[in-house]
Amino acid sequence: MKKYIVISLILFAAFSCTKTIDFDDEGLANQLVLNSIVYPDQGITAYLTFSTSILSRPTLAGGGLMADGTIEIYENGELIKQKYSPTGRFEFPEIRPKTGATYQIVGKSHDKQLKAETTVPNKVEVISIDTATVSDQFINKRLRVNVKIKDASGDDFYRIKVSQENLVLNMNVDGKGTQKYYLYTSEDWISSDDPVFNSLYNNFGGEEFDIGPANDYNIFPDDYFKGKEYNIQFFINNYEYGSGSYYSGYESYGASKTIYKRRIVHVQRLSKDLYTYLKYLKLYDFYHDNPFAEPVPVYSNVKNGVGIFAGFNDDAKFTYEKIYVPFSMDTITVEENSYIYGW
Amino acid sequence: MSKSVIILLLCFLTVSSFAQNLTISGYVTDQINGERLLNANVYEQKILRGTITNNFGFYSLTLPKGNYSIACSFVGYETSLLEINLLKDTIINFKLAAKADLEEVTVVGQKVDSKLTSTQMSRVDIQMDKVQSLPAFLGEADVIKTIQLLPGVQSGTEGTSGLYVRGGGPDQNLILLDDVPVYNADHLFGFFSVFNPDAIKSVSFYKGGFPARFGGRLSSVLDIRMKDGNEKELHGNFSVGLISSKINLEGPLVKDKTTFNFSARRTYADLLAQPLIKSSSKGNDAGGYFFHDLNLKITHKFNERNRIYLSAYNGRDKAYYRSDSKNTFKDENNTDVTMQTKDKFSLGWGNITTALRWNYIFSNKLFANTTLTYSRYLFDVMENTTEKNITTGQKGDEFGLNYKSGIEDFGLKMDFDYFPAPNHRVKFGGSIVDHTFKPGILAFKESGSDASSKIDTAFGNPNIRAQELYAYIEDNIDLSARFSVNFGLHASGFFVDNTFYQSLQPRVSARFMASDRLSLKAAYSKMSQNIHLLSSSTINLPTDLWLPTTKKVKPQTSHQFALGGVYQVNRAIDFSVEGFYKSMTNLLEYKEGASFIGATTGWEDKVEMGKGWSYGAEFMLEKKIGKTTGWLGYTWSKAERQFDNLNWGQKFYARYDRRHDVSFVMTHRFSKRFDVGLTWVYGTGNAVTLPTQVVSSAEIPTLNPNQVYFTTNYEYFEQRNNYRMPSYQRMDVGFNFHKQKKHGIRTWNLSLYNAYSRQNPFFLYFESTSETEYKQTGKSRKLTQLSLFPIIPSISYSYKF
Repeated sequence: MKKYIVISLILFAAFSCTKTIDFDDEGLANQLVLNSIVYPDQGITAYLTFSTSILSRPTLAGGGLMADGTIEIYENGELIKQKYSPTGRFEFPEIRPKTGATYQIVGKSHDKQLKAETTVPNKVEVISIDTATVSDQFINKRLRVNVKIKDASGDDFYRIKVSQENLVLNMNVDGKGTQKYYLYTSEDWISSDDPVFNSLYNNFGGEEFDIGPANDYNIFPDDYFKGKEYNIQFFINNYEYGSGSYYSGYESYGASKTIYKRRIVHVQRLSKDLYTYLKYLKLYDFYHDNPFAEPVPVYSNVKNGVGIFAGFNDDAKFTYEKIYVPFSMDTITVEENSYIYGW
Repeated sequence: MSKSVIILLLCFLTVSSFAQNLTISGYVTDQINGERLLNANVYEQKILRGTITNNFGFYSLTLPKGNYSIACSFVGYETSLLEINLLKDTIINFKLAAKADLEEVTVVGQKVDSKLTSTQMSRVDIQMDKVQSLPAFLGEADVIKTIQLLPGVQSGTEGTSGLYVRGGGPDQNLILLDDVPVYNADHLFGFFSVFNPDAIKSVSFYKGGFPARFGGRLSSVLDIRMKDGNEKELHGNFSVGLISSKINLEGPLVKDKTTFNFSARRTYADLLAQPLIKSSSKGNDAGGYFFHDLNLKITHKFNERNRIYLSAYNGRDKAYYRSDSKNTFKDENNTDVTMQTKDKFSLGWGNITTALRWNYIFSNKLFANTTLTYSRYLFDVMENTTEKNITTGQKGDEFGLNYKSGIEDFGLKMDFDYFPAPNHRVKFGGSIVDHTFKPGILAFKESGSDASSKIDTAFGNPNIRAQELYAYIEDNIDLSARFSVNFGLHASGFFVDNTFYQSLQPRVSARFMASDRLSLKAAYSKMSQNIHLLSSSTINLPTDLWLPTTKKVKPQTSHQFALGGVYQVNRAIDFSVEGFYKSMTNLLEYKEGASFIGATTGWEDKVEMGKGWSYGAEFMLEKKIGKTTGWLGYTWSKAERQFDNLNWGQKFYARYDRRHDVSFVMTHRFSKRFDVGLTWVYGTGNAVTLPTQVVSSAEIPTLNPNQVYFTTNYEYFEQRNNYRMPSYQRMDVGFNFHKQKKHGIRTWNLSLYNAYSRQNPFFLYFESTSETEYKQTGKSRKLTQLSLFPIIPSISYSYKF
């Protein structure tokens, strides 16, 4: 099949010629872009930027031109905060989004004004979490996790995330026997055969060319279990804590000691806007360089502009702990700047 | 719907009042070669009652007892007149003589005034001599490229044979070759069509007001009939062009009883390239591409009531590559070992169609045609690699891959023409087709010197069987001297996957003669389509797959309304206007991100269903008689789509939405030895999706409140198909030099495709600018247009005897 495509391209190339054509990028006024994702118990951060022309070299690693301007935040229709920023970054640490509340955001920069709205969804009802150690086909151990949730009525959207924490005692930080505690956190990759994950991008593993993007965000809608209980199954590979991570090396030299390790399973309920945004962002990322693929737009819920203003709720947690050394958090101080990696 | 049935019954009751009249019937044929003439006029000159011949040249005219002057006329032929005292049912076979003065040849239209007086609207009959006289791409005259020049028809991308009719898709055209559907009418990615003009007798194209006898596609019907063959003596022609040669032979097998018509065409770029490939590979490699077409038709007349026709077509494209290499190296014992590797690759696609038809005249008022059909389209890819140790004679590794997909149909069809009275012409019939859809099987074989490493397996979707049937009835009634109506009903069913879809499709066309020179017409058609083409959105590829309606993917349907008029400016010139509105449901588009690659598995999950609308107005000024003939066409149209799961549910322009479309077609005969053809087309650019800006994405929170995902940039576009490609323009010019030779006429054809070498858009893409360009413009990227064909001259030689 590849040869066929190559032959086609050669045939076209044999006849073809190219020329640069006028593209009125100046006439397409730059869009005002708003990005902000909110969830309970965390302050709101929002960014205002201007998009740049498709012909321009992006001026910022993370996007377009930062836009100076103001942001107004409304809670259930009431203005609760207004702020000006010359840099386009707006922080509202004092606002703690509430579950079920609706937030509107109005952004203004120069002569442009945009508007967006989101509601912070309710927490997920997690009925149970069950784990077991199993071996895969290559006899590698992995952790199998079953999470049973109760779906609410209406359309709901979910996301699974797993992190692990390692509290490590470094017994000789400075060569003089000074001991310090470090809390290492990281996120785990999960894999799953559960249809709720795999149906998202229609991944049919048997295809030679088009296996679609991986569901890296681990998001799924409730299409399979509307209003019912559902048991989501997934695996965490290489589940032995610390193996392969840099601090495991210290233990082998006796320089550090792990106090405890634990995994935390999060089940998040996403607003439809956030789910759609993540779904299409991944789809775009996977296909935008493929000349044969249909174009993928990235979702936006911002009126008179582009971007995303969306909420989620992340309260359902389960902790799987493995304590190596008795300890009490009351007696230790965890150092800052612990290493964080992962997704 | 019951109203339609009642109206039909009333019509039959009306018909019975003519039962005591007498009938003249028979065939109309060419006097020289016996070829049956389709749509020829047979009419009584005094009372102006008449009829036309059907698709087999048969007519029937019922009149009261009396003396009549019967005329028979056909485009390009002398009118035949016959005085008759009609006392009993009579058989009269008209044999028309071609006009000596070729300047009077009408180029388009079934008869000089048919466009004005016919009840049918949105139909064009293409004369094959017109196709042959127009400029040809690489010397290959092409029926479909001629149809693309008609108002309301668009060509898709540059150079291709796709048809986009009145805002419809390329899968919505029913292409019939002697009543057999042709599923892939393209050679070489659509740059040529499969129809060899030498083998074709007539071409009728419908873009609206569909008669009830047609069904199964939403947007158009292309009805192509192959030549029967000369009844009297052997004739033929051959031509040699830059890329292909072809030959056509026709004649009697048994004089006045059995005729044949045979055509063959093959490209030979691969043969010419072989010496180059062999010399560059030291004679070990071979490769190339070719296509061929074979057409055969045999006709046998048992008697005046019984005739059979066997017509067959076989066409195939093939790209292939073979290599044979030897590699000598030293093994661990420092002994020379020679390994031979043979690699074979081929990619092919093609159609086979066969029709066996039996004409039977039950009575002078009832004509029957029964057809057995077979149609197959197959696409296949083969790759095979074998290794052999020549030193030891031991077989090495072997790898084989074979992919096949396609569609295969067996069908039975019965059509009846019933002529109860001069003002009624009834057609009815039905058909059943057994479809086998082959969505793709990949066979994979691998073996090594180690016996344990053998693989021999196949995977892919199993074949899907489906049965399609329909029945129809239509009646063309002249309600008064000025007002005629063609109405009918087409009922279809489709059985697949334990599901039965049914559809009742009313069809109505009406014509009102406001004056002798002006007719007003209106038509309504409901159409239903049970098979879908999964197609790439840019070019016609042989990987395009025909797939059935399923439980999940519903049949496409359309409703089309058309309103128009024809004004005869003078005997030679017609001016016609048609407006149309078409709504379509259950259209298919690939999902965002999906592509044709790998679409064979789980294809239903890669498509979305939605709605479409198109509307527009078509204008055509046409000169049909004289030394200079041709037309000027203009179309204003709009085509939109709306899919719940595409473009966030918002309407968007169809890819081939084209606001303005102009075509100018002209042939001028300077003398019997020299004529010129010229075409010029202009069209608004196609709608494509093109990002216009770059936007930063949101920071996605991680589980740690102090951390976020990296932000990235993405390319933003306002909506699907948001950007217009540059307009399309092309002028083609052709010169034909004829000379009478001892045994026939030779013709040199010189053609210029894209005469002023306009770079037309085929594909747009962004590319990085050079440092110099960046310094000059401040832009890091630029928009680049890929164009396929600059000016292409071609020459061909043909000889007709």
